[in-house]
Amino acid sequence: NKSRGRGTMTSLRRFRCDDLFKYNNINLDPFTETFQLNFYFHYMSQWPDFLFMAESPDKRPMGYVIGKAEGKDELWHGHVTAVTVAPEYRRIGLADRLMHLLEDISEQSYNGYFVDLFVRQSNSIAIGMYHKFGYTVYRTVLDYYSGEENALDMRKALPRDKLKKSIIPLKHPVTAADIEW
Amino acid sequence: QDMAARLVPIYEALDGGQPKQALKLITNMMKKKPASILTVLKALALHRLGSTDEALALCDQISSAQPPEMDETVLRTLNLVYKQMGKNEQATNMAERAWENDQRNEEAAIQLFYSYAREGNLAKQQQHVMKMSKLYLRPREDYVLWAALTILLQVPSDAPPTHPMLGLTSKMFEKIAAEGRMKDSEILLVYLDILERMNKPQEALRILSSSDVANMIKLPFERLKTLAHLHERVEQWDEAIKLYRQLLTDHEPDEWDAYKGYIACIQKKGFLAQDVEELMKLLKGFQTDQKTCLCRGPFLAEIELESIKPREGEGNQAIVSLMLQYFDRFGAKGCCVYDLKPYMLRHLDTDQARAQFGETLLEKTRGVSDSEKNLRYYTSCIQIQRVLGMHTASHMTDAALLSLANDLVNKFIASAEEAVKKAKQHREAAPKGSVAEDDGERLVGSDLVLVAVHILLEMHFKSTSEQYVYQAIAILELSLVLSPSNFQFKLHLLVLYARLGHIRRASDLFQSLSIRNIQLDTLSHIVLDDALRYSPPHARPITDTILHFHKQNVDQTLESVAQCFSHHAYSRIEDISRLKKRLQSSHTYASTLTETLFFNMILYAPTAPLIPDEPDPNDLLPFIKQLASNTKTDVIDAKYDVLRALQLNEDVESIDTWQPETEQPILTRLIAEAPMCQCTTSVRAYGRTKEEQVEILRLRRLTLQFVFDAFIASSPKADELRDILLCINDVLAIPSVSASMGVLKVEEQTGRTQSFDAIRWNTVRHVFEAIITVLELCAEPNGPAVQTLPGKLAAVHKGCEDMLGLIKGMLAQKDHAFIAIPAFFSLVAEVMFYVHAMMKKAHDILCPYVPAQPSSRKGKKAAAAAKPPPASELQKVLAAFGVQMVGLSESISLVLNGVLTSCTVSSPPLVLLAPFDPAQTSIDHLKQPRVATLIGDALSQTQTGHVLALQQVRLVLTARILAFKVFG
Repeated sequence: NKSRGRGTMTSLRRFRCDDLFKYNNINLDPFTETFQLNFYFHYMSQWPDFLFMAESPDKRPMGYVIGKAEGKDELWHGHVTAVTVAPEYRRIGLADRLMHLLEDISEQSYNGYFVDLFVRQSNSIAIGMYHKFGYTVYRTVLDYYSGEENALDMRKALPRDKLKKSIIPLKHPVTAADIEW
Repeated sequence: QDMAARLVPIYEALDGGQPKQALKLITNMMKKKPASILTVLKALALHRLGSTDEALALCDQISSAQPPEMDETVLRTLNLVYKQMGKNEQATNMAERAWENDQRNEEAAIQLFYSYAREGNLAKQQQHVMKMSKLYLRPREDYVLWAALTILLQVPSDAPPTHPMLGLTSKMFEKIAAEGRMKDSEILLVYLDILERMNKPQEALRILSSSDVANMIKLPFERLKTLAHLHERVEQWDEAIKLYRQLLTDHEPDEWDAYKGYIACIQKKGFLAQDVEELMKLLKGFQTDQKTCLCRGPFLAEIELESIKPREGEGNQAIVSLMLQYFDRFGAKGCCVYDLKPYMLRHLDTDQARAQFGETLLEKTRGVSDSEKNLRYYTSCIQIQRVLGMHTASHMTDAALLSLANDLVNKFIASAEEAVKKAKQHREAAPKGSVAEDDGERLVGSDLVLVAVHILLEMHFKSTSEQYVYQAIAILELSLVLSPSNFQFKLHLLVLYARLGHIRRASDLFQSLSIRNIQLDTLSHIVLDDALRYSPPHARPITDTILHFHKQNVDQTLESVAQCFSHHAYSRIEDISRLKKRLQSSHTYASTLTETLFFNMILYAPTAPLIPDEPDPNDLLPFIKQLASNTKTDVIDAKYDVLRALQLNEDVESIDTWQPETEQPILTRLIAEAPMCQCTTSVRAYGRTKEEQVEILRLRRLTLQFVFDAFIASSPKADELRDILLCINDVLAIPSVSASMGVLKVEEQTGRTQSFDAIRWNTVRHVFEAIITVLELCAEPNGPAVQTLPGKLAAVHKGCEDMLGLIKGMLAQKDHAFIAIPAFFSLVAEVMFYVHAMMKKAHDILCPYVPAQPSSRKGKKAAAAAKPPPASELQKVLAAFGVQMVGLSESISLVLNGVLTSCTVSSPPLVLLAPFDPAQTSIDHLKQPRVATLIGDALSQTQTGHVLALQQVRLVLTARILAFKVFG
């Protein structure tokens, strides 16, 4: 038990297609992308157990997480594609809990070496939050966001990476073409 | 082989996104030696270049060839190209031929299976996979499993537990499990789902009793939840309790399902003292343990337990005290109101108890000294008070309510201005680009604004005075300036503007919310109906994107179902298939298809009948005939069973209202009660019944059928044609007419009647809307020729008269929907009267105050120097339009001065306030940029108080634009 000591109180369950019809209190937020259906289908059909929804006691959507597993050999890892929380359910540690869930899936269902995520270099709030969750900057990816902004590739080692080799920071920035997956 | 090598550069060019280059290579090679495969690749290149018709012709030409021209490579490539062009049927045909050429080829068999899946042809898919299961002795995939899944897809989602196909599939799964072919949770989950649908939890438990099987669900909390739930289902309470406890203590101390299940089991066992005690011990442990004391679960669980415990006349003391404690602990969280709501509503059962609870909370917030925290607690308290119905006439006087609304807004503004200032300083102090302009976090106290808005809207309903609506809009606009990322502000504005008929601002907001993809199905209803009524040109982009989204959807869902088979994501097959069905039967989609036909008829009709001296209306005949013959019958199918099968996919929960039990949904009443928006048409999901929606769509489709029949079956004479045209453009094309007729019809049938006046007023408005629509359409850049305003006005007047004639004519026809409004005749007369009265009033009042309109850009200076009118006079102007500036008088003079100056500088909008001179005014002036933008830009730097006043002025101007268009 990873001391989930905050007030998330939620029902965690797999994200269903029906949720797409009522997730607007989360997705109308300007920082949450509403993707084409194909995007959700792509994840559902390849990593069916990597999408989770958090639902409140009165069945309001609170937040959700979407991830995937990829990479070869020691680069086999879980990736955080989206983690988002509705405005009214912020400040109760829900993002923390969803991230933990994703780490659990990466570890227990996929046996990965680490978890990674990409974040805009200017998004200091998110970066601070990921630091708090135990993520460190592995490398900077130049002009990752439509050639306009750098991304930080942040990682957290899972138990399988005993020596924590996966998170040793690279000395130099890379370009999007250098990313392995 | 040589050929294959020579194709490599072509593939590379295609894969590299260079279809032009590929086409060049292909053309060169074909000159030397033509080959089928080259033709197919040429088709692919052409398709990528956008010449799909040409590409399709090439493919069709090749696909009719016979072996050896059609070798496997050609077939496979053709299959791919057809697939990319969305021609699933042809793609399947190629796959069928490829497999029939060589049935031993298992890959070809699998590809054919996917092809059937992509086409959604379940019968053939099943037939084929059965063959496969017999044909391949050492199969690459489990075809029996695929067969079971294919059968399962054919079971209706509401099938009874005894449905024979459910029984059949469960037997198949049983066999798969028995033979050790249930390899992972994806198969297990489908099996469990089947048993759930068959109502066989016992059987599910039996399967999971093998730990090998249970451990296929890899996440412990998910596994425990599944098991605990099943034990609860078979009434093994103690076992279920044990598992729930384990889930809470070992994995997730905040998992609500576990608390809920645990407490339900205790209840089922009859609240044995020992059970309750053990749970309480667990809860108290969590509540006091440092690691878990911030969890909400253990505290809310205590309330839940208390809530369902049998009480022996001890009143609600205990639970009230628990709820108060909960507020102490979590009142600063945005979700506090949602957590407590069900318990408050259940246990605070008198008005007095509710008032007392609300008062106590307010007392508590006063004790919080930290200002930010205080505002957070205060916000929760106000939300709760609203939910409890305390902001209503039975608890507060009008004056007190208005003063509360004022306080709420001021509290937010004071805090928000401070926060915005701080954020700006922070940004400026940090290195450039390292802090984003807007971090997207909701400002503290934002929800207070929404409560204030709801109070004002309540006042509006009670007094029917529109000033409250304008005030609400002003407050929201101001708040949006301070917090541009708050989508609740935008949603509320969107609704209000749409209902006021200010579609430009509404559609701007709609755009700024980035509503896209599936949201087009769940959210567009907020603006679409009003846009269709008031301003079809603004509705058009929305309906176009809706159609685009739906067109994509069907192909994508079916492709994904095929992908689920190929990636063994079996648990998602049913889920995605259901989504497809839900989207296919979407009411929004169906009505959009229908409305698009009307658009096509109006927007692209080569003549506009209301414009005098137009060419012979006979020109229109071929156009409509073509439209009619190109229309698929299901788009105008008006049969009840078809329409009733449609689904409402609207998301009605997205707008925060914290609506008290005593109130009807606020957005319904915006339509139903307020005179400004008495058109019952915009209710949609916010209150219109499905029955009404069915009637409305039915009438719309009947109208189309009527028009099409008139054009196709008979060849109408010129004057008849003109009548029909008028009827399309003026009345029938306006959805609201059908809508109000639809509502009337339902009311007739159900015996539920609105007051006659309301209906009459609706109809009057619809005539206005007809006129507006004609104006808007003619004002479109690509619409019919732009006319001068005098001509236009003459046309509108004539339109009214023509409409009278039309109505008479329609009444004479039997069996037409128009007969539903017998009073139409006299109503049109009312319109005419109203038009004249209003025009004079507006003119008289405004004349003295408007600076001379500059005739060119050079006139700017002179206009700017014009003396602003005195404040008191301006007040009078505003009052004349029913708007009072509550509490803002000191700003008015300054602001209006600014408005007049800035408007004069930019000149166009003011023409609306200017003395009306038909000789010098053109319809172009109606198309000028929004007044709002202009004012907003000119005064973006002013203080918030002024902006607030400005927004009110802007609303007045907006109302003027509308009034001008309607009455002018």
